[in-house]
Amino acid sequence: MVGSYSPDVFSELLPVYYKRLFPYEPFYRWLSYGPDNTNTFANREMSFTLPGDVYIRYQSFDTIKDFEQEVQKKCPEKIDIGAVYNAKPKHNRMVSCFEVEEKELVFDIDMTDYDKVRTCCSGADICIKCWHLITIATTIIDTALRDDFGFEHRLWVFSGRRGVHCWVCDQTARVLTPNQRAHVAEYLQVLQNEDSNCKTARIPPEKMHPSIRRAVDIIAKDFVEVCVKGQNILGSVTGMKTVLKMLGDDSLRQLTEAAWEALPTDSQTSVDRWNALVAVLDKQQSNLKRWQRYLLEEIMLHFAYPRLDIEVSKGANHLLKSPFCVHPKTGKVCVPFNPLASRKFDPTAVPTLSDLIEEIQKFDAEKVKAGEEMYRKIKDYKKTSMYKGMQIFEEFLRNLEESWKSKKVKEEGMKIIFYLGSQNYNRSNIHAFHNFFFQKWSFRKGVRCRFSLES
Amino acid sequence: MQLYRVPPDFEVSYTEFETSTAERLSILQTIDEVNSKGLKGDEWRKAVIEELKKQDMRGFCKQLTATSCGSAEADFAQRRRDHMSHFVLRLAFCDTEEKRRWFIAREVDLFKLRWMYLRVTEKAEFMKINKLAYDTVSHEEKIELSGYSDIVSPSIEYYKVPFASVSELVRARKVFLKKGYAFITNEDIVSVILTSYRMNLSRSLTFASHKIHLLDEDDRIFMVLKGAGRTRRSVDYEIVPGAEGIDIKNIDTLCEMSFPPCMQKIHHRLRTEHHLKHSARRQYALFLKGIGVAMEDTIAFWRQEFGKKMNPDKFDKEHGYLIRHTYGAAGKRFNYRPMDCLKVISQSVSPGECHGCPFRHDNQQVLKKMLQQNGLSVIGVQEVLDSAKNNHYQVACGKYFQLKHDSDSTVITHPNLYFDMSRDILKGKMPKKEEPGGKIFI
Ligand code: SF4
Ligand SMILES: [Zn+2]
Repeated sequence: MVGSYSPDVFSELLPVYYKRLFPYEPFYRWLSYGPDNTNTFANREMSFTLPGDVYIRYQSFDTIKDFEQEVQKKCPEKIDIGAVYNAKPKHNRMVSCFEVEEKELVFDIDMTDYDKVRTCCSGADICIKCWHLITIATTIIDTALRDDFGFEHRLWVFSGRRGVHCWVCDQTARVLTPNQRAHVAEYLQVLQNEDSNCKTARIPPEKMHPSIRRAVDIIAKDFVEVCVKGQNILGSVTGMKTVLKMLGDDSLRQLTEAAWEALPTDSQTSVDRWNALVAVLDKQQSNLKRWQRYLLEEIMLHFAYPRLDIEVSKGANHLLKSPFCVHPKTGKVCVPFNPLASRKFDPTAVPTLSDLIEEIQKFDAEKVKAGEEMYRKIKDYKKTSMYKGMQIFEEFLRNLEESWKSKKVKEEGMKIIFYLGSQNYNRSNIHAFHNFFFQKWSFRKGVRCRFSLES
Repeated sequence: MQLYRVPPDFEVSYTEFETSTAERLSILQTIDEVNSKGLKGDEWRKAVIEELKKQDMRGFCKQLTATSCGSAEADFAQRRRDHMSHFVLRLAFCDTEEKRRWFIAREVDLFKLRWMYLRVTEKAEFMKINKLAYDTVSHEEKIELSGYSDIVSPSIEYYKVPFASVSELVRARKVFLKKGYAFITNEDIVSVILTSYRMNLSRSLTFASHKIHLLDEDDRIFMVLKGAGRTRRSVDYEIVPGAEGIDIKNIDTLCEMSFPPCMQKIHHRLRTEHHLKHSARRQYALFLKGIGVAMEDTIAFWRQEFGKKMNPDKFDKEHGYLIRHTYGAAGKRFNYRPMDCLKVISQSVSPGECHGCPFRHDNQQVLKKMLQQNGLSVIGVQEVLDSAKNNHYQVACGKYFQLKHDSDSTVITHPNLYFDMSRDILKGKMPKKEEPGGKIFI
């Protein structure tokens, strides 16, 4: 199904994509965050990259129609999504109190950051072998976001070429300060700069944090398949040298080398060597020094723990490429995918612009010719292989919309309890409540709530 | 000690207003200065207190360290001053983002400092008074969790707080997280308090910044506020009469060895281009005057350089005047003081101009090259670049000084002080590395 795509047709096909395939309506529903947030969409910064690398920041759109028209008119090669401000970015960014109000917490994982630990490709290239590293990364980060931070609304999107983005859309995530974002990102960024043994993972010997333990467990499941076999980490002299160096201890090195040499000539693969290494470490368990307590875990983390570009996550006003953009070079659409099934996601099979447009035409030609007029009403993307990505997006939206409903009920409930329980209120919780109300309601929505309870 | 939730509501005399504000400001500045030494924990606390004592802030120190309350009256007065000065400085620091950030960070430091002096019972009391009640973790829950985490131990009391309120602990992976809640111990609760304190402060400051214009009516208050809103002490450089002069013939050597980067840059420009634009001429002339180059020497030296490109008469007319003016020998005969770093840094610099502070106005490549040329190691270069990148220009300059002279850490506040310190070290008047607890050069 993945036909040939050449960047030359990009500018020709892009207008058709924006006309027929870009999912404006769901996109708008997502960025509006429910009927209560009337300005959320209009105050959102978007920026366009136009042909010739013309970059326009601080665009904003009052309505979905405006957005649709502008996109179709300008046909941006790339759309970036920025923060929601306290005023419309297109008019107000010069006023002094122009400030970020909210922004999804985002993560960016890019294959190029894996160059030191992959052997199959390098730079911009990817293949299914190294993509498995991204799969592991997705699983680790997604689990942490869900189990540790309690984030429910995580949208994972293929970035069009060689990476993935994650948009965390929970209310609590959207209002994090830049500092807090940095802290979350650093919590997830386990790897550090290389130490003298070229190892990037260091686990303090006292205790392993449960989140790291979990990451190690996730990696361990696939480590042999993905790294030892797939990346052939012990299949070359340089690979072997690197791992030996990481052992950081001469006696261990000698033992391991001896074990490798003792392997029969017909079983000298990366996997054989890995097993031999594990056996050596196992046997030496009681002789290991304190700092070597987690050596095996550290090696696995080094090769497979997610490489995050945390600068992207830190800033609340940082821009990130929107889902459903098309990558100019590959022609691939930035489609959402399911992190739980990320193993099944194959980036090389993501439909290109040419594929999609061919698919619509084929569909139209067949059905419409057959006189089945009703098919005309079918949304165009449903006729194409974008369908699957859209289903995932719709499901994400459904969950998000569910949460608005239940949140409303909760807030109403709180109000009632507050009034009912007024005989045992004291000044300070009025204060707290007042603060809560003032921030959440008055400032955000421009509604003034007066309290007469104080008197 | 308090979280300053309620504004002061008492009458004060103007003097009290002014002095308490000045006092708090210098406490915060002192903390800032000590911070640049990069100390942690107890060392940091000791260094701060030491500095404060040196500046005769005994009232404040005593209140901190007092084990029993002194006379109730003195104590009360001190609290009043504390309360009031906090709110006054809020106003003084509310108008720009940069100032707000500085003020919040220093107030948080101050809180930390005080917290370090509280006893366990006092801490508990504090939390009770401030209604800081958090969910505790039940025994069953602890047992359950300790199963898969050796971070949680059943014998310790834990609080459950939203992770965002202890994000610093989260970052360091010092806490156990579950579904958005962090499990923290009694000791760590201070970071929770600080986070909410920080947020409240930040909100109030933003609010104040929108209202500050209402205060314009009272000139006296306005003046105090204007004077107070400075994150660093401004430094006056007095020219000591009779200080040993500088021989202009040595100027190139002096430049390489003892000029701060801002002046080095101008000097090099003058030598290579034989010309300087206005702002650079001014910045440089004042500096030369400050280090003790005689007026005639400056004129002669500049004439020689400028003269390569322009007619000497024209030079005398156009630039000679400026120099004489700068030296207080022409025009208003005002004795101008050399610019301090704040002033140098706050100038605006257009492309092609060479005045200003390299740490602020040069891009990283240019800066890097300059640092390398001055013989800094790769690590040194990176360290300095990092500080500059984080907008700590004077800290960057201090590091640069430290590396170049192999001296103790310092922050540079004045180009001429830079020069003097450098001369002192090179002439062996000052020990290269100071004993611990020695003075810092401010
Ligand atoms: S910090 Fe001060 S002395 Fe150092 S270069 Fe900048 S202005 Fe000059
Ligand atoms: Zn590959």
